[in-house]
Amino acid sequence: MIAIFRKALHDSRRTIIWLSIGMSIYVLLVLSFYPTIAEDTAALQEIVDSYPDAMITMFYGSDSAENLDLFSPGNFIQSQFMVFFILLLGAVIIGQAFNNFTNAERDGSMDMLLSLPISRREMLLGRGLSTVVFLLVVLTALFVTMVVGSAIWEEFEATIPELAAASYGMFFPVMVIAGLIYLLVAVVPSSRKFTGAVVYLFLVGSYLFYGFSGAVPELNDVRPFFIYDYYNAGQIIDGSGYQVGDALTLAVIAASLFGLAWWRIDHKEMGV
Amino acid sequence: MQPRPDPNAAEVIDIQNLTHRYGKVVAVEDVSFSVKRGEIFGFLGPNGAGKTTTIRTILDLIRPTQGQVLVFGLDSRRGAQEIHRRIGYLPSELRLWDNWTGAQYIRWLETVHQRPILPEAEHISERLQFELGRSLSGMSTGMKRKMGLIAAISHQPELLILDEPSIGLDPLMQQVFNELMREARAAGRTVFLSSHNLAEVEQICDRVAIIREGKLEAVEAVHNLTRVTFRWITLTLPEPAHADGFRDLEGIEAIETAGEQLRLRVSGRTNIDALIKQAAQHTVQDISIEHPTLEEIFLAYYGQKEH
Repeated sequence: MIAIFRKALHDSRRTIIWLSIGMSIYVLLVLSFYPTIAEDTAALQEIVDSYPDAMITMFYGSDSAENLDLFSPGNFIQSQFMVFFILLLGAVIIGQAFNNFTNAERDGSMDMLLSLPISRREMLLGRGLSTVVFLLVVLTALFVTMVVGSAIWEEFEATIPELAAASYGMFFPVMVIAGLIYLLVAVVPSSRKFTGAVVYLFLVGSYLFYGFSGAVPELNDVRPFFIYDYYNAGQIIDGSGYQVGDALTLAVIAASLFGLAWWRIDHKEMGV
Repeated sequence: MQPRPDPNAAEVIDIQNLTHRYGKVVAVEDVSFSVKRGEIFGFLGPNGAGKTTTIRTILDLIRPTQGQVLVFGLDSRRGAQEIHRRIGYLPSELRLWDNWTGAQYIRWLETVHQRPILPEAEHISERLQFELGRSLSGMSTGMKRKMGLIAAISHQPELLILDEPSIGLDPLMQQVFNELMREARAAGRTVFLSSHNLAEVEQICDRVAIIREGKLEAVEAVHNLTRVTFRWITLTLPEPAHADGFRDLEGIEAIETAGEQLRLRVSGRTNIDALIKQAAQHTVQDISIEHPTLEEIFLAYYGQKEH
């Protein structure tokens, strides 16, 4: 398992570096606007209030738009990049999982790997562990950048523990996406070429659906079935703080998905 | 029940009634054979015959629809990890990790096998004229296969499973490969290699299994198989060819003439020296030797058996 972990980490080192740099630059760029925004939040809020609820919830990514202060520090980062980063990290992990499993099965490199004294489950665990490390490194870069940003632009008022909770809190929703994709690659034959497209569609589609469901009261009951309902940087920084229950719910779901993948991969016909 | 593994079992691979279906397509049907410890065993068949499916079943990449595969006396599925510890494998379609050098790959394999293999890898790569320090990206098929071969044999496994190992190897390297396989056999290791080329197999193999359309046609000692095989020798002469003088040579099974060309079907019993002397009585402008196709071998083999 350690050998697989080392290999997976070696393969993703450039992605980790460039993604961390790219995300950090983007975060600093967005935070640099915050002082200007903080100067006149009332006027900006008036403009935002005139937008349809569905539009606001879509960009905000969680909860209803009613009485929402989009320009508080937490809600600002939630709407400007935190939700987007969940999608981005989810998409990167989906790509990595497809490359490491489905494409490896198709091009035969999986045959080489599994002919070595490495069990399928060890391979899955090694890859899963590298995903965890990958995510923690990128989230650390995000956290450090936000701390630096809050030091530079003092109008962006958030404590270090709040920023840590907002950054690392993203770990669990992304791990649910990772668990889902690991389960799929452990179950679906590599010859099914539509799988990747379906997963990306599901990732983006579920986010859009969740966003719109906030503006449609009849759909409110389905919102707990989406990961976005369990993570909100705005609530963590400006509202009720970090919800351990939400994190636990996502952790259990992610662990269950990984557990299923761990069980099923041993039954799979490889490269078929 | 899992058979008790016998590390000294005479049969390193034991395949019993193996059937594998991909949906409705039967890739391998009711195949049974065994490979003995210390032999070089050829698995011969045309493309699509079921060779790779059988090998992938031995490696537990796919599971038998029916039947059983035992390696070192262990079930290929339940004992997969222990089996993989003791084998080396070269796939027919080799894809290496392009972002690594050969040496990096070998060092990574050292962590997998949990023992040093770099010295042996360096020794083999010297013989194969391969630079381990080179990046694996942009390498030709032949070079990549050399790397695959080095990776498969450097940890000195008890069993080597090589799927079409000679693809991309030039004749000189083919000779080195043959030497490596003979050395492995001399050291008591077992080699199981697949090929669609009898000429390649007959040079090094002790026994051969022939598979066609998913069914095992024969398992024979190579000398038995080559005894019934033949060559086509074509002589191009400056004048219209005549069969006179060749007909009486021992082991000439058939003669065809077409214009200036004389085509002789020569069996393993043919006195080649007499044939060359007879040909020397003519002005030979060209000579070519063709190996029989697998189809022709099957026909010759079964023709012989029926008689």
